[in-house]
Amino acid sequence: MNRMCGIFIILCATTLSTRALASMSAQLRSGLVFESNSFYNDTSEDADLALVLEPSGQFQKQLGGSYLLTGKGLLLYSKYASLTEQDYFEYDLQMGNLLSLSQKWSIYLNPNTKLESEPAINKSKDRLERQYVGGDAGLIYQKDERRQWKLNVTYTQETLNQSRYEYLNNQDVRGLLTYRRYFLPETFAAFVFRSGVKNYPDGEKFAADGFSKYGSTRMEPGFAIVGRLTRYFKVKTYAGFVFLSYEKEKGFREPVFLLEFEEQLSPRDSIIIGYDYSVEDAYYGNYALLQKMYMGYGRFFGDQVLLTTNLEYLYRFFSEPYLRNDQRFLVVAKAEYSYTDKLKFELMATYDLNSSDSYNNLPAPPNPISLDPSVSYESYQLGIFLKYLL
Amino acid sequence: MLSTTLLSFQSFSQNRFTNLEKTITLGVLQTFKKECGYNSSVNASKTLEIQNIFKKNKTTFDRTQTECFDQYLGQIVGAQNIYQSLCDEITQKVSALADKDIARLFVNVRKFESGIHPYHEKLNECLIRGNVNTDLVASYSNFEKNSKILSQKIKETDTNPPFQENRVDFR
Repeated sequence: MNRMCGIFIILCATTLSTRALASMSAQLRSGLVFESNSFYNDTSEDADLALVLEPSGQFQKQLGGSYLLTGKGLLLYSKYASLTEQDYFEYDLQMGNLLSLSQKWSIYLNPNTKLESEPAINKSKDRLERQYVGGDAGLIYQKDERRQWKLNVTYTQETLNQSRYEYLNNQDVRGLLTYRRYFLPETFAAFVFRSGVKNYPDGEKFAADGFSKYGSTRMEPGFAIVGRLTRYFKVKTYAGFVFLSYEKEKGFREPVFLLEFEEQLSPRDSIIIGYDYSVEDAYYGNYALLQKMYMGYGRFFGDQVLLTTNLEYLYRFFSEPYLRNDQRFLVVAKAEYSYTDKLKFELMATYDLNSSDSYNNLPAPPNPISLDPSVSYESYQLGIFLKYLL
Repeated sequence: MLSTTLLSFQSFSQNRFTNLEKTITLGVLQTFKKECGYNSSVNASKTLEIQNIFKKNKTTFDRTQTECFDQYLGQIVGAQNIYQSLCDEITQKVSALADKDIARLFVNVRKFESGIHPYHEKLNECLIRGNVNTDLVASYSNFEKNSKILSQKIKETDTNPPFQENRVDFR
């Protein structure tokens, strides 16, 4: 889904430009989450309770008729009851600048930064933090109401905070050329050409220890059909061909595709079913083949209760030189109760199961050798939240 | 959609309804029947909201805004009245109606199934085009917002794996 959003970011930009409403919103989400397996280990499961604080906000402002300024931010702080050294902080900040030069030409520059935190493998280790800094810049040519060209360039620099992960620090530059043509009022076909270079400056720093990561180039022509086919039925399809080549290892070619269908069953409930087959650069080996099947369902009960569920199966194949197969099964259920327009309560339950054929043979105390396939894990989370809209 | 409507209307005008046509037509009417009560009540309050915006602000309107409301408010109210009367009529047992009535209802449902939405959209576009003052723009009906919110909420449950696989910690 995120990949498609990236490809069709122009849709968001266009929507904003034609429906420029000055607006601002903010909310504070706070709650308690019980985690059954805080380290996502197979060998030992450390359960804990975490207090979560999540303020977020966004704004949109039209200035001078031709300039649209947007901003979006989210902060997340999680405080554990007993595993206090595992407390973590994350953020995601985005800014958008869209300037319409004329009725046909627009340019934009959208800087962003993000911090992600990953659970440590055990109590004696620190959480791994990934810092992303970068942005999108692009040019839009709206030939007429039905036809549009767009050129987008994305730059992302990723930095990991632990020295033993330094060899995975990277810079990623991607170019995207899209031609989109509407054949129905809300439905378009698009030709896409994506190319990119990913570079690991310190990729061979720990080569003597058996850790190395090589840069790669990627090219991907593709075709998509996105939009509403009937009043109640939406579709998102994409088919492409990925050419991946690595600096020092064998390249890879593979067709990729995405099929997603959304049916509005009634004014109160919708269902989304999708299958995504993609190839992404991986930190474990060179690349990973991903196959994701998912089904989501949402329903309003009365005017105050919203229930959403998602079932997902993800199969991942990690390439040579370290072959590995992972299967992840995920179930998420959320219920949201709107007590007032500004105050909402949320219940959340997640079941996450990962089954991998990769074995961890590193020494892990108290055993000299860990014999379990510790890459696998089973975890569930239960949470209760309060959301206040400012 | 239009061709189906014309086909059915043509069949009716020739005074014949095949079984297949009747099944399709009744299916469309049943779907409308299932959701029109909810849509109608939501649209009624939305129409009232737009009328209140007009009453409250009409003394301060500029020429463009007055023209927008003059042109589209009547159409919104008219569309809502027709939708409501269609819904009232269709809530009786549809299958018991004569072919002539089924055909008439089918054509009207196809024509007005969007309710006030097309006219409301035109009003908003007219107001946005005429002036950036967006206080006058009424948001769309709840069930249209619901559809977008549902999509967004369902997609929010798509959770990424908790970590990215790497060989440093073998995970």
